[in-house]
Amino acid sequence: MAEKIYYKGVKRFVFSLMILMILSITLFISSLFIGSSSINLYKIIHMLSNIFLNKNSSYNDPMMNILDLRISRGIAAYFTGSALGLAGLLIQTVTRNPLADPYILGLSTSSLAFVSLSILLFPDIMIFRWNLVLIAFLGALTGFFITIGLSKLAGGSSVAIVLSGIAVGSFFGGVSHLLLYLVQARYNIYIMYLLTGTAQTVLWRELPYLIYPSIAGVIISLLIYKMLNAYLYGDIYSRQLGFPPGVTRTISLVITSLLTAVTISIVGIIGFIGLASPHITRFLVGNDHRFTIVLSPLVGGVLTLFSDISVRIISYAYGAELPLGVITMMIGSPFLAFLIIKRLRE
Amino acid sequence: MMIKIEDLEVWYDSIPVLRDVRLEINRGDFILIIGPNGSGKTTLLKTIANLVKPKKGAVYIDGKESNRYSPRSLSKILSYIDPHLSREMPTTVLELLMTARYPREDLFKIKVDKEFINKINEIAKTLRIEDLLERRLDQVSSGELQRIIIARALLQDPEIFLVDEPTAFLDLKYRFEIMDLLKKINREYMKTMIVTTHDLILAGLYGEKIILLYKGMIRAAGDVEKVLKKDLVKEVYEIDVEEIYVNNRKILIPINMK
Repeated sequence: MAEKIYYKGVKRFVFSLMILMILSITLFISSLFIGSSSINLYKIIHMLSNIFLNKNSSYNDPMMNILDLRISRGIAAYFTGSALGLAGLLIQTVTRNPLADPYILGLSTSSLAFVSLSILLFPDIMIFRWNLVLIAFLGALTGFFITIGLSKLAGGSSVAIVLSGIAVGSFFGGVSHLLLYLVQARYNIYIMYLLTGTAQTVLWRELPYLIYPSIAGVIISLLIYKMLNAYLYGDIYSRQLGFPPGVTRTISLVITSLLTAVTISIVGIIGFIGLASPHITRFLVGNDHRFTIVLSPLVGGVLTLFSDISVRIISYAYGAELPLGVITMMIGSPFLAFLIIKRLRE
Repeated sequence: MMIKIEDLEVWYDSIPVLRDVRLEINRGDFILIIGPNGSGKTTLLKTIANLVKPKKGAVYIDGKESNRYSPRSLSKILSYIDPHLSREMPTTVLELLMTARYPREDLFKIKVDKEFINKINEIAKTLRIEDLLERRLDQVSSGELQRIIIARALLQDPEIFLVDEPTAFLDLKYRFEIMDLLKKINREYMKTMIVTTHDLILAGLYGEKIILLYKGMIRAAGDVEKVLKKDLVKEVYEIDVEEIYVNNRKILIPINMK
């Protein structure tokens, strides 16, 4: 009986992994074709082979630049989603709350508020990206602790956390808006797009900030997957198995905040990916972190890349660039509503 | 595995919860801890499990102070078993059972042993939870949850079982079932069993060594005859009781308020 269920779980994992890989690759390749100017298949293969074979002959081709932008945009969207998929999974585990998400709990906007303030005070910081990421990281942590503190005052239920998060998130959202407005007025730098993130502006050299932390996050989380599994059943249970829950919390919170921070400082606020990805992942393979840590980033990547492709299609049709965060919010909020109803009914 | 408790004193913030607790428990003992609400039963179990730090005194397990064991090695020796698991996140019964072997496994090991899965099968069958394995943990009944939790403890396979209120919220049939089960584990596997209960009737039926806690102190300890006395119970529980004998065992029946 047990072995049957266990191997069924493993099979579902392998199957989901394969499907998600195929989806990722398919979406990425199709994303190269979609945009305001059309490039045909032959041209793309030709240019890709040039890139990989390091022939610089056609580098002056304007099409080459467009392809270049599309590749970096696709990778940026995908890894933003991966970072948020993992961040969402970990924050749900840490708060033991299936409604948690870096955006819903206010981490994203508090992080952005810190980033905006630091740009307003020291505009040069835009050049030193790691410093910006560090500040975004501190901002995310601050937002988390204010939300958790507030929710404790409100009784600590899972819905109390969400409501506190909305209060904290709205406050820092307003602050960010104001600060970014001031930045724009003072230095004439247009960075309002951070409020509803976009992958369009991401440059090749910025990609490592998204890729390395995501991969490091997955590896570190996998190293503590047993601690995370034990943590789900409560602090006493975790300690009873010999895992100090404080350690699990600290590690997961650092990873969550760091991943939120990199997405905020490179692409801006992308809401609800962190909420939806873990739920879809658990639907596929259950709640064993051995599986979910691997799959949730892939689901997040697929969701975000898909949203970005939709954004490109809409932008192409109407001629003006639509921010990515708008789409994820439109898909994500009904999802949240559904989860809240389900939860309050139980 | 012998437990020796010396001069134990535990405080929660500024409130003393346990005082002057001295106790010796031998390997293979079956111990029932009784006492009214707030008498310190749960705290005593948690202190033995090193989940609560004593203010004074110490718990020795095989001559070594319990807080000198690493959390991991302690989790191989004893298991604190209570039904108050957090069930906020959706997980299945099998997922819970799979965590039982973590103390004995390498932290980074991803693969699950065939032998462990067979063990899950065997224990699930004994506890009649084999049909529940795929069920979500927040969708099982109290009686089922108790059996699941005891199955999990058996899989963890410690020497000492610290079982907190295993019969609470259960109807009569399941109370007997769970107590029979604990006794069976105690006899057949020679596991030390320390169980708290509110149920005086069960204490009479299953008691070997009984400890009566009252206001954080051991009011009486010993066999059924010594602890389940009319006057003592009247004083501690503030109720009237009647003594009856069934199959040569003394049972106290609560009658009404004193």
